[in-house]
Amino acid sequence: MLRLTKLTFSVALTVGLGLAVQLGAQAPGRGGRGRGAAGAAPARAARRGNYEQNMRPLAAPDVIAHGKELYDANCASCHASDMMGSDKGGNLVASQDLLNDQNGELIEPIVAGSQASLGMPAQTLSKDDVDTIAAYMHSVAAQVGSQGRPPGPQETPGLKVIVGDAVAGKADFDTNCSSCHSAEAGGQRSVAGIGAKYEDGRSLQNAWVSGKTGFSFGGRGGGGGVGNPVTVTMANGDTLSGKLVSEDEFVVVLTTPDGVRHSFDRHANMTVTVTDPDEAHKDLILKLSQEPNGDTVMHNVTAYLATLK
Amino acid sequence: MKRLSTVLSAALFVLLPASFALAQSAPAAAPPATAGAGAQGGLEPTSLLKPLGDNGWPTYCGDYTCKRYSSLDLVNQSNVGNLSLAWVSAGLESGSGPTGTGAPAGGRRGGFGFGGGGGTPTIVGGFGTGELNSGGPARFAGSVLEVNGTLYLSAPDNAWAVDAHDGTVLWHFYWKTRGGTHTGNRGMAMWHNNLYFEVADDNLICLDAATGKEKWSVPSASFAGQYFSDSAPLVFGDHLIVGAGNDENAPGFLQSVDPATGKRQWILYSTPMKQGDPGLNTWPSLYAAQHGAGSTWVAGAYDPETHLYVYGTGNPTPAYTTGRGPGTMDNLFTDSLIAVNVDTGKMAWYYQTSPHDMHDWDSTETPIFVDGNFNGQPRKMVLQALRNGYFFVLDRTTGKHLVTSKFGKVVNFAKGVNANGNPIPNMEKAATIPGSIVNGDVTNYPPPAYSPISKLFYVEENNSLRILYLTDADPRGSMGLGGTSGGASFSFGSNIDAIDYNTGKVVWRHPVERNAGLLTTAGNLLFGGDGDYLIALNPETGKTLWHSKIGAEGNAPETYMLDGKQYVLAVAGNQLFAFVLNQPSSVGAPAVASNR
Repeated sequence: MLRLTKLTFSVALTVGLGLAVQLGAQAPGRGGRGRGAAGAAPARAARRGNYEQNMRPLAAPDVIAHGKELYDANCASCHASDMMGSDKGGNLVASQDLLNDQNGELIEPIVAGSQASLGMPAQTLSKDDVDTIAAYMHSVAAQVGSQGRPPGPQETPGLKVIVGDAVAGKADFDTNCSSCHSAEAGGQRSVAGIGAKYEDGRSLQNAWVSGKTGFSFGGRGGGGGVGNPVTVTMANGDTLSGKLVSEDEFVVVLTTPDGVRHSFDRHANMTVTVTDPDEAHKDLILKLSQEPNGDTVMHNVTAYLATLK
Repeated sequence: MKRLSTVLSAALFVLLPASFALAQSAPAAAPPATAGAGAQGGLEPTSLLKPLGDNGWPTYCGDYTCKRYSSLDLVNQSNVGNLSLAWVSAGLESGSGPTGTGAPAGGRRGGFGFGGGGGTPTIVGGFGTGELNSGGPARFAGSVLEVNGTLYLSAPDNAWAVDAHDGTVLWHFYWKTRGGTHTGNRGMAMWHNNLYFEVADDNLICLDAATGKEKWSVPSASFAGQYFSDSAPLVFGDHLIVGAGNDENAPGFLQSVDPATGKRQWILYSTPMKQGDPGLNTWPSLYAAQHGAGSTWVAGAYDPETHLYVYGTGNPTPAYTTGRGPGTMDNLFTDSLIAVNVDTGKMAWYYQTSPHDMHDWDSTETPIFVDGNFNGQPRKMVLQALRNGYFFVLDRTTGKHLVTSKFGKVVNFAKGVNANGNPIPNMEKAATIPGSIVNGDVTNYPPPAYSPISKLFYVEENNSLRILYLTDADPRGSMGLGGTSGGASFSFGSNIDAIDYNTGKVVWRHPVERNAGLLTTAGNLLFGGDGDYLIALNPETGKTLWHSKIGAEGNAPETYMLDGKQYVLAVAGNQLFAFVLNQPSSVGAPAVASNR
């Protein structure tokens, strides 16, 4: 439930790939995602919340390490080595029983069989062992990120973003892009070499779709065309052109090439014309969004552009 | 639509007991042992039955219908151009530190034991140390109550009483938080002389309205379980309705407590909690349902004839990867409009507005009750416009579906709607590894409005498209709001929309930069926001009649009558602005004779 507040946000997660691969390699779970576990805490995890679970003191490292051994031997076959669950057992990281537990007191009865009717069979483990396992599980749950994001790296390593057909993508490029962009070096608004400019498929795709070297995060309204070329035509026919500073129903502000700021109270006889250089890209994403194969066209163009090294 | 007679609440103390017990043992101020309301007075619960007008603004929506339509007409189309500032409050500051006076970044305020403006005493509560309170300018994103000439408003961990005549701060209450997710606080409730508000670390606090002193606090949810509480409580007779939020795969719920003591009367979970609960067959497993969310963080509307409270539930969790694996399932009763009998806590009907949500559509937006003709027949209806870009009309007594329409211009996440009007999610528009182009949020908590004069429903409409990537490819799904990354995005503009409930069609669109909620009045005016402007529009045409640049608003404008003047109130940033039709001083109060 994303809310509109100053505290909600979008965060780009760029997990170091080498680290992610290393963590992934040690996770035998079905997904092979490799949640960070105690003793292998990831260098960059999601921003943590400040709930009780995130702030309570952890058990001593040797207790946690022993708890992990006991967990792996007794629990991991159903709940997975990363505690995220499997067909045979639920996700323990998100368990209210674990979050509300302090020192194993809520886990002991469950291990003893109190939830047998829900499919959790009784286990023969001593109280001390259960409490030690609980200490380990708390050390993992402490790494839960803000807004319930899972512990550890937020991205599965080795995701294949470029899946399109580069040949079909060239045809799609010719249809949708070539009136403005050339693929030849030195051509009109050339995209030659774009495949070498971006190190991963997601950055490449975001760049060409948005028409920007970077890309903007989602949001409302946004910049309102700030910086775009604007021409204001007065009631008497005089015009003034420059870069847009701000524009709303009541006031328009622009900067002329000499650097001077001009501010106008808008009225009925004044026209304001803003040229949006992103217009063609906006039209394209809108068109693709409404077509059944729009995503495929986007993926194909990305695959084609990736070949332009 | 389906009718349900079974309750979900039996699982009550199965999942949440320890935290509640722990939280109960911590606090200083315990609820009184006896329930008797004792000396009454203040705001009588029966006065909340009145339609919004000359009785102040006594609830989150102003009245139970949530139309946000006031019968006040002193300010109207003929004179709104003369609306001008009566007063502006000093910038209100949230507390921090052990006494509430910890200097926020920039050191804006000194003084020991004082805060919130003008040397007003700060009353301190809470179980934290104050170190986790961020302090600084108050973030207003909820409704303001106006009762007998006093305004009551809240921000995360803080509440204030303000003189409605001139903006003077009367008291400031500050809660030392234990932590948690601090989203916007949506406002307060009043019952006799008690004020109620929720705080992020999951306490429901009862204050003495006259002094701001804490009467009691009770846990509203499990803080250890990573719930957070920010919704506006609501009073229906002797029931105080309390909602909660949680992003970490926990069950959402709504509860009713005794307004005198805070003792729980009933709890209704949003998802199936045990074998045999209705809706369980819409989840891949009981475990998934028990961790399926459906938060209750936005106030709904109440029908005193049927005793039905109608509210929206939030998204399932994990928000972007729910139910990957066993195919699409509806995930009841997330993203649903639910009617609950406030006396029994039993669900009377539900209607799902976003089945199998894979986009955090979080269908909690405020519903509005309208009595009117539908297809020539009188109907008691409920109208709701949602974050997923769809608008719905139902019969509010039975839950029968009447209208579904798409008001978001670029909405593409659904293939269409089924015979019952429910959107059919297009699973190709969920987050994918190579990216899918999908619409963003069309609306959110900002309150919609309705005018019985124009017979139109008003709501903000935000149009955007973005590339949504799946970054967590685990077939078990991610957790919470994890597992995705947003890519390239474009805005296609925001509007205030007027919607005809008979057809669901948008009658007009008024472009705005953004908007935080709407108000209609018998003066045939529609108040709202356009970026940093407070604006008044003609509700029939959408034409602008008046504007004032006060900063981005945090919630819908409100109106109240005081000493013969109609005030229009708006919150922007950490300030309160009150507008009136100013008159020459000689027409106002008699001149004060001076002896000096």
